[in-house]
Amino acid sequence: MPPIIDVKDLCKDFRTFRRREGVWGAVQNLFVRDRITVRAVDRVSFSIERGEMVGYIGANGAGKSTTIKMLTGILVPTSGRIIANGFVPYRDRRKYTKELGVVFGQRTQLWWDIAVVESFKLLKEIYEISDHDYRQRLGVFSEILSVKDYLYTPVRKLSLGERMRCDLAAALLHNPPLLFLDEPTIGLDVVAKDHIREFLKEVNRVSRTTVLLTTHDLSDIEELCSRIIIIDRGKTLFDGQLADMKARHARYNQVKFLLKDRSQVGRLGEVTNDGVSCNRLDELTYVMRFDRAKHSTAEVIRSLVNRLEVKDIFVEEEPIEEIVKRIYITGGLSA
Amino acid sequence: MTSAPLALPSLPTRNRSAAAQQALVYAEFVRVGFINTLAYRLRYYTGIVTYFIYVSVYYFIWKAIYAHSQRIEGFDFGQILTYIAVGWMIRSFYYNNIDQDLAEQVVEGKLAMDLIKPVNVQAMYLARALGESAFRLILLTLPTVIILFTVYPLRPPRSVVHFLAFFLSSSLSFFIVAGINFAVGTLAIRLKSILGLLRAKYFLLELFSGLLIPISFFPHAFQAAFAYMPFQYISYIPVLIYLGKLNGVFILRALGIQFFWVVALISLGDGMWRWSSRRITIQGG
Amino acid sequence: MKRHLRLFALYFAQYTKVRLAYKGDFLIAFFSSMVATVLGFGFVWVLFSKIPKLQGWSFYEILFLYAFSITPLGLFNVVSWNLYEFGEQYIIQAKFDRVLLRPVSTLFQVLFERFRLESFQEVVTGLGVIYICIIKLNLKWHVSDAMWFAVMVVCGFLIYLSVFLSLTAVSFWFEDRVGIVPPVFNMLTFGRYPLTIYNDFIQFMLSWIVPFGFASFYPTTHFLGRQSFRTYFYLTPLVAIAFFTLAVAVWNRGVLNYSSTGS
Repeated sequence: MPPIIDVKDLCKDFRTFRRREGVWGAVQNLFVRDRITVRAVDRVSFSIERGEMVGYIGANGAGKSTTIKMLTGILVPTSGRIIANGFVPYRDRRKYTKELGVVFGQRTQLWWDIAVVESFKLLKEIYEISDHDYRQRLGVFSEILSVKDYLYTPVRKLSLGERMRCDLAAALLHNPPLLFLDEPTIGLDVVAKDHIREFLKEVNRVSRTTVLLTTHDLSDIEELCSRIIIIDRGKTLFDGQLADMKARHARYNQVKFLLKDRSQVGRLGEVTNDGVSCNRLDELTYVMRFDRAKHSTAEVIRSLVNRLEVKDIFVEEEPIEEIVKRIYITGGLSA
Repeated sequence: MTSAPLALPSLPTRNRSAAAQQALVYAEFVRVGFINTLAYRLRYYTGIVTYFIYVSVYYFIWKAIYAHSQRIEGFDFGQILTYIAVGWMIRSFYYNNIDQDLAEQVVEGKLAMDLIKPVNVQAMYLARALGESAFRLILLTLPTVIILFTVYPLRPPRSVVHFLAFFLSSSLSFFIVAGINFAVGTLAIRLKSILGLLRAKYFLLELFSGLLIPISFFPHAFQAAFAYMPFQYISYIPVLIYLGKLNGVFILRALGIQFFWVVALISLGDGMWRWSSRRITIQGG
Repeated sequence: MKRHLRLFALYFAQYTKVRLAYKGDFLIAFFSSMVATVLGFGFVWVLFSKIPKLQGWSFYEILFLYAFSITPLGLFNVVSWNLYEFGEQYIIQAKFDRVLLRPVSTLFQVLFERFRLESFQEVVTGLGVIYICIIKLNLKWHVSDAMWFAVMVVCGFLIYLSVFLSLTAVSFWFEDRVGIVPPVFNMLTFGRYPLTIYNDFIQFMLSWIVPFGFASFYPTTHFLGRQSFRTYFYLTPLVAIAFFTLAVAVWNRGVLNYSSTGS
């Protein structure tokens, strides 16, 4: 079976105008405008198999949204090729979008003034969903997303978390094989985030829906995706399994420990030496960070318990944020 | 949209410089209004065309009408043409969108931002509109005046004195319109959408200000009623001064009444604002 | 086609429900719209209190012309709401992205997502005034006239839609708020008076560039029994279809441009 998304040498250029500032600048703007060309996406290639859940991450302005817009058919690529679900997105727009689900975290796809269920009814017509399928899916979503309580509330009166659930339900009402999520958890509280993630896992498991999601919250990725694509300044920096990324790019390990009492604090200096740093978390809790290449965890723990009286020890991996940050800085070259 | 940073004073202090500080703040709003208007390139180019079209429509209508008569209601063709053209010229200056701006702020839920600024909201809107009008005067009114005088056989003002009085009078028109627009705009706070209302007000001002047709053409009952309304002081009266149809004491009297309406309408706006802002419901944005 | 009709009915029903949920606001909007329409007749009314005829046209004939021009315009106003705010709402705030994500024609979505319901009042008022004029002018109408009348109202609607649709599509190329609509909107006023009072240039423009003449003057002359513009009258449907086709083509080009620049 061919991959559901196949992207090859994708590029996107934007032309913009530079605006001048101040009163005189505004007068100048009337007559002359400076054009500049910016390459937002630069020769990006990847392919995604049916049923995969892939995290697509990058800093602001890295080219994430532009890529998503090209994948959804909103934007036409400057060059390169996209085949998604068997279509060229921008060319076969109407056929393609009929089998596509999209959620933009920042903007709702629902009609602002009307009750959620009325929005769903419109979508039922738009996507030509049969009565049977509609009723069945609405039932399922009401259940797991618990949207039942606010089906009759206008969208504008919903909280962000409630709205996001409805947006998700709306995007999946026609059971698309392909789902794009742009910042699906932005601005949500922990409980709402968790709810959304569980739902996505469920959908992916039951319907084998392929999911591509962008996010700033890397815990989304850890929870949901086995694969991660990192983009920066338009270029792909990393594309592979999450575990692979950790193995290749993680450089530090962490040992968090709890001291027995305050008398031990003064002796902390004894455990920090070359390549091992120690930071205070609270009165008795500290964390040591050390280079995996220079020290083994066992060795660090041994030296710790030999010198200090310690109550508890936790070994932790380097947080994924740190690893990704390093990938941005080094441009993807492994250390 | 260009958004220039606002140089707001940290805290208004109770000394002599406070007034000067405040004046500086409003000067800043004038500047921002000026820059914002400049940012709309196309609007500036097409605004001139718009006004030219306005005047042209009525040029042809009046030309057809005067094909058979020399004088109607004391106006000969040259006078009526000048009346229409000058009316639109000053409109290009006094026109503003305070009402729409206010309505937009309400719809977008940004009115709270106006409330937390340490300034008088009405004065802020007026100052911004004044900045816009300064822009219009230079980049819209001036080209319009040049084009209209070139294309159509318009008459000059009756005398230098008439022109000066006309200039003062049409400046007061700005404040009358701004006063009305702010007062009407505050209604947006209590209504869901006032765009329909604004459209009705637009047509009302066009007709009752004498912009489309001199007030003296209206049936007498209407003329009598209009004497107690501010509308004819927006366009009819300033243009009559320009044409020399008002003279001497009558000019002073007209200016006095205009001034009265400015004060009355601004007080009305202030009252309406107090009344409305007491119950601000910011719609979710 | 059938699917689009169903969708239209659904969109319309939905929107009506939303508007009527705020009865007070709707009533104010309706009343304001009524006042605006009546005030629009004000100039003609005041003018004719001083003059008997305008280039051979009597008060009721001018009134007929005026009323005919606002009838199809009322229909246009019902669906044009989104066109006015298109640049700001759909381009600058990128609402058009959402439009592109749905498997329905973009034009359909933009025109029928909101309706200015109160503008139906303009249609009714226009028809009412025309009815009065028919009686006052003692016009003898046959069934075929009524049918032609309906056809001409639809043509007028298509002409207004085509002109403003083309102009709205300009927002796809210029990021600034489009200032090109107001001057053309004001050209509507030209169509409310006999075309013959204007010079050749304006007459040509109102016939072949911005064909408002075909949406008001040419049909009206025929209904009033003036035979000098017969050919133009029968040309009206062709003009309407031609301009509409052109407008849709411009719109589609615009959509393509939006997709390649992303604004």
